[in-house]
Amino acid sequence: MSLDEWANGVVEARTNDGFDETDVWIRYAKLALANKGGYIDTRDLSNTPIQGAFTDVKDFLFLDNNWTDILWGSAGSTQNDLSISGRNEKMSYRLSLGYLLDQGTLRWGNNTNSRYNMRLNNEFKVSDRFSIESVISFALQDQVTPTMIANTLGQGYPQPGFPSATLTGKPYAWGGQYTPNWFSELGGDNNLKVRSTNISETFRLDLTNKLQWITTLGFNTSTAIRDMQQNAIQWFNYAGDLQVQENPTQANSYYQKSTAVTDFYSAASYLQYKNTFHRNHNLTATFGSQYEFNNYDAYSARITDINGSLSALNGSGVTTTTKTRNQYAMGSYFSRINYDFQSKYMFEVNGRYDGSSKFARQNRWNFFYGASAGWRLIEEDFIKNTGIFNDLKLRVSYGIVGNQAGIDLYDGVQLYNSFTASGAFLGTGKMSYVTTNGRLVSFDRTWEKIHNYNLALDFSVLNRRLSGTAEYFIKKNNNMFLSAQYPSILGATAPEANIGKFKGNGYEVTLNWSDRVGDFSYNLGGVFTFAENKLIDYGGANVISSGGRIAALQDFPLNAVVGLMYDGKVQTEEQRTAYLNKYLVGNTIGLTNAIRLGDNMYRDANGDGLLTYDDLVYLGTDDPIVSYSFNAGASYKGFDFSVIFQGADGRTIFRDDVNWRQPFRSVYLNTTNQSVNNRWTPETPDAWFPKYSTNGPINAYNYQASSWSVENGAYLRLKNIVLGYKLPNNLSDKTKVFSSLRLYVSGQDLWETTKIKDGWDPEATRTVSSGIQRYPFSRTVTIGLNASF
Amino acid sequence: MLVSSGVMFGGCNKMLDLDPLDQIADGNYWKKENDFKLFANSFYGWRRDFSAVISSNPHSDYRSDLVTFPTPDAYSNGSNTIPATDGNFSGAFSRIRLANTLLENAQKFANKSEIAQYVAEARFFRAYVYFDLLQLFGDAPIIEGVVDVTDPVLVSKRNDRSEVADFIIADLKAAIPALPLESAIAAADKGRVSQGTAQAFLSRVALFEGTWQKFRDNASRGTELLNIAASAARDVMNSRQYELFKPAALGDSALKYLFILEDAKSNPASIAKNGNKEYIFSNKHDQILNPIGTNITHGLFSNVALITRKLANMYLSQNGLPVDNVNNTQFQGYNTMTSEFDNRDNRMRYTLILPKKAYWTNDNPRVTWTGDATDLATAVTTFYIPGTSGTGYGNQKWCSERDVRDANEGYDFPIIRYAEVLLNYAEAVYERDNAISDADLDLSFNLVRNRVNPDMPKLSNAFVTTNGLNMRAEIRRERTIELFFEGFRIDDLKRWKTAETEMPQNLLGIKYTGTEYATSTLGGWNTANKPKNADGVIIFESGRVWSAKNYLYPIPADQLKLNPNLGQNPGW
Repeated sequence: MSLDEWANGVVEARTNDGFDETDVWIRYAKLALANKGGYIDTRDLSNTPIQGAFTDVKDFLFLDNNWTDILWGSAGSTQNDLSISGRNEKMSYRLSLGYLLDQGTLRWGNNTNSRYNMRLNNEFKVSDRFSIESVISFALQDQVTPTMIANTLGQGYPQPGFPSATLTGKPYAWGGQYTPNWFSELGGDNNLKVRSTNISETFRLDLTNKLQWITTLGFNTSTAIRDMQQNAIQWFNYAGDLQVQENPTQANSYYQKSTAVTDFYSAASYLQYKNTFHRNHNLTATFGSQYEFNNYDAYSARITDINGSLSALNGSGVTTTTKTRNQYAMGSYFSRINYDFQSKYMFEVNGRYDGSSKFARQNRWNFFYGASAGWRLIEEDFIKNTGIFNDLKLRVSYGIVGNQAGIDLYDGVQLYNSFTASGAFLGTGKMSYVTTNGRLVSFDRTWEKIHNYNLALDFSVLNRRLSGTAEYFIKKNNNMFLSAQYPSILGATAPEANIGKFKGNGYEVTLNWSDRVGDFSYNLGGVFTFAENKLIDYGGANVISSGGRIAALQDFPLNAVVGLMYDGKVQTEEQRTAYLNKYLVGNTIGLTNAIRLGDNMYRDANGDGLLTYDDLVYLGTDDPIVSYSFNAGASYKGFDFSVIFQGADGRTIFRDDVNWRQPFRSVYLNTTNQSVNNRWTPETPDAWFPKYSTNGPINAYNYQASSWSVENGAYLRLKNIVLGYKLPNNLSDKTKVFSSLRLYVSGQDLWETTKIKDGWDPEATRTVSSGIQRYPFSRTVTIGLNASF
Repeated sequence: MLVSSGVMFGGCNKMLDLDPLDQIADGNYWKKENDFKLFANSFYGWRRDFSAVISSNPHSDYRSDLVTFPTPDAYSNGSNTIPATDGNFSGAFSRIRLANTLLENAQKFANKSEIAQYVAEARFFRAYVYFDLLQLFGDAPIIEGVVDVTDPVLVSKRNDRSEVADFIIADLKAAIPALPLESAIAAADKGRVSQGTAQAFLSRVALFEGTWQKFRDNASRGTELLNIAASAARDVMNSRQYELFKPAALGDSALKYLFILEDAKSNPASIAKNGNKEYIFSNKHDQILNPIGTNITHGLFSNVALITRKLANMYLSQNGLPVDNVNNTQFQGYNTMTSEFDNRDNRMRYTLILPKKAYWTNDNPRVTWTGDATDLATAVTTFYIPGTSGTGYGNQKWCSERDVRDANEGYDFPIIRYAEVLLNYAEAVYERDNAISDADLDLSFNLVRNRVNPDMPKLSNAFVTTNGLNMRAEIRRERTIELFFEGFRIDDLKRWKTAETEMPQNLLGIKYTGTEYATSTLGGWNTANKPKNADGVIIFESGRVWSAKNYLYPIPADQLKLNPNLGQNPGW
């Protein structure tokens, strides 16, 4: 909102709330209107225009700043890749090098991300029967972000009227409100360096010409070192001659150094048998085992009260250290047999026996298996002879795979958390203490078994100009991890158990067309996916006590969005009285007798005469049901052009960002201005937004999840567009250096159409209330050069 | 290579047996005394702190008739509804589970005497949590062990409030003998639960439930509990471990500076926290080590916490008489902004803000602490005029005068202080016997009342009779004034069963019509157009209700759904 919009809104909202001319916010807003662009020094409190209020501020400021422009700008980034490869009889190699530099769009503080990576692939033929394939890669990432970036991003918009700096160019504060940019500018750097090395060796030994023994050993180590410094920041009045705050204080300034090492070891060894019998029968069989082990070891130390000019662990205040160390391991035996007849009929069966360290011993191992069949119809004469198809294949499969995602590392053990010198202040300092992790122990969990069913048809016609795939799939999980809810009298969180039943199904259609007319070649294509799912049985109590997105709700898709049925706004006093008489008693949806004309009404959806959370209805799901993309490309002589569009439909969003979505929820914060000419007043009874209010319970009631407050997440976006030109070979040859040269311009996310009403990007998540989620959406244009030597 | 893969084909169950490396697990805890102490340390995070009283929380005066916000409070004006979830109910049980975890593991510990103090702390804190449930919800499920998901208690009815009260009292009585005297607690452990803490808390619990029952026609149960309350309070008094904060150097401002007492200079007499023997159980703060963390001074000073006329009128005149007493010749009426403050209980001008005087806050701090020109130069105001947007009665309790950054104030929050124990004693004796002797009054009540009012006549049976006063009303008045803004008022009104008459009354401000306010241009008062009642007094909030159901909070909807046997509280 602009300063005018905000100030007028405050007057209206506070007046609606029953405040009169003496209200400090109404008086403040009127001052803003009268002094737009100006400022009033209130250091001497007897000069303050509002006696007895805002006693902790030194000035009133009424500048009309655009904070998006103050905080964000455009940024450059560069990416360079180089690769060299070669081969001879005994060996082959490929070396790739890469460099990436990304500059952040935040205009305050240091904000860059650079990455160097190197990868070397080698294959040696030691003898005719033994070869070694080796992959070594190394990556170095160096990332700098402001330590206090969350303070800059966290507050959507500062109070209207705020300057970006004092008159003398210093950080400005208004009582306990701060100009957000300075947290990033002066709060110190958070520097993360990650080094990772990955080595993988594969040994192939031909025992006979039909039997091969393959062993792979892998080691992956990654070290992340974080140097995080938080500096004290002094904040001043607008004149810049009086320090009004220190935040963080010098005592709370700190230097934190943390190191985290992740080591991942893997080993797999298997025998592979390949044979063809009587020319038509092809058989491949594999049997082997594998083992994976992960060790995570992290340590961090923080000292407060630092000397901000040092770039190493220092400080004279409190030292706190934390450590994390954990491990997990997985073992498997696996086997697979493939058989085909003339490459026409294909069969596969596979089985594996998996064990995970995460489960208690008795539930650790489980057997999973699958089978599939394929029929290449094109090989059948009755299809071949029609002359329509260039390819036609039918596939069907069924399999069970295990899932252990979302399981804590150590099942079956009651864990305690211990805290060092951070508890209650007793005696002369903060106490160390130990408490449980607040969870009950689970002894009976085991792998989730996910059943996949799949039926697919691949085809190609018209001289392979048109090809495509149609696929139908079903996914079932009959022992899904869910946490049943127990009365809070239990006093702890019950663990997730294998209690749920889930089913998902859908289809995907892919079509591609490509053709060439002389030098002009082009292609068109698209993918359309429809996927729906349903939690068939929750398997335990699951009480919904407010609307919004619910991760798991029986009879509905995962991530269902539920809310009250909106029933229009209160337009007359009779309507208000009738609504309150009917529903005030026993309601649990926050309805109070304070509601006014212009507030929302909701429907008693289940007809029990009460407005409670039993009246929630299903409004959609946060996961899109339909997603699609289509692309087109063309090339003519050296020119090439391509576009990719992407879209989704069937998504319902209930945004968690209350301060931004609700005008005047916090009277002193700015919000989206969509409500400015679209809120209820007696003259505009059909407006979309309810009557303005600063009253917490009324706003919470109006803006809770309902068919009114959720948004349609459908969108279509131009995801990518590229125009390139490749120099004719005779020109590039003349350079004597390059064998080919291509110049291109590409754009990402340059255009979209969306039904989102709150101003967020259509691909943004439902949660945008904190930290990095609040990073603004940006469009990217790239200019690039591909060269071969 | 061949060897290693040979191993792999062997069974690898052993290779999947991994134990937690950075967390304590059940098998290696509860082995030594310190394990119990560390676990008991976590209970101290449950103690009430400033947030319990300076924002709208269940026991805060913001939910009573004494203080209000610019925006009406739903719990204060009776418009609160059944919440979908309620941390006051649900959160209590995770604490009870933790206390029970310690108690259950203590039974398996060999040397019981070594851990007796921590067992007693667990019982104290279990009682502490249950008392909160008793005050807010009445009936509550009693859970004595670490329960599993199949335990029948999860689907049972709530225990009757009398059983809950008995359970609390039993815990406290069991804890008392195992707890150390205040003087026996080492410096490094100061702030831990003492014997006096448990005794004082017992007097609070028994007085609450005793009067609750008495004023709901259950005289015999009331008497039994009031007897416990009186003797528990008496035990604290007899222990001689505590005394009222009353340094001569601070004179009549002792109580004002008690509430903002820090080790850095926080009062004119430079008295530090070690001069305070009044706080029996407190949540300690320190500017550096444990600052209060909320902008408490600015959050409460002047026109932010709005005090109602009811409290202002409750302060006695220096002659010991209420402002409306026919014998009161000292009271100066409401003609000027300051006249009603003349000759009143000294706590009035140190709690409310007397207009037209100088005041200091944390960022407009005292320098010389003498009120001289240097001091006045930094004052937030040298001529305070109440803002027109409020009731006209400003607050200064909990507001620092020393130079300290916002939210870094470091005074302690008194969870239990000795003055309360003395007042518990007087009330328990009076309500038990329907009478109280002058000797008992002098032993308790008059110490509190005369602390900063040395010249005020003592309350005595003769004084009551002579002036047509009511002993019960005077005892309640003293409690309301002394413990204002410390989280007692709404619970007192509930147990006295007087909320139904006190709470629906309009919240009033200063008298406007016919006073200086109506004519003065100071602060723009002459043009302030506020709603007024027939006496010309500003009506700050009207339309308040209190029905029988409001004496207890509703059980949250989600818990009722998970266990319908809990039963909703009456009227909800």
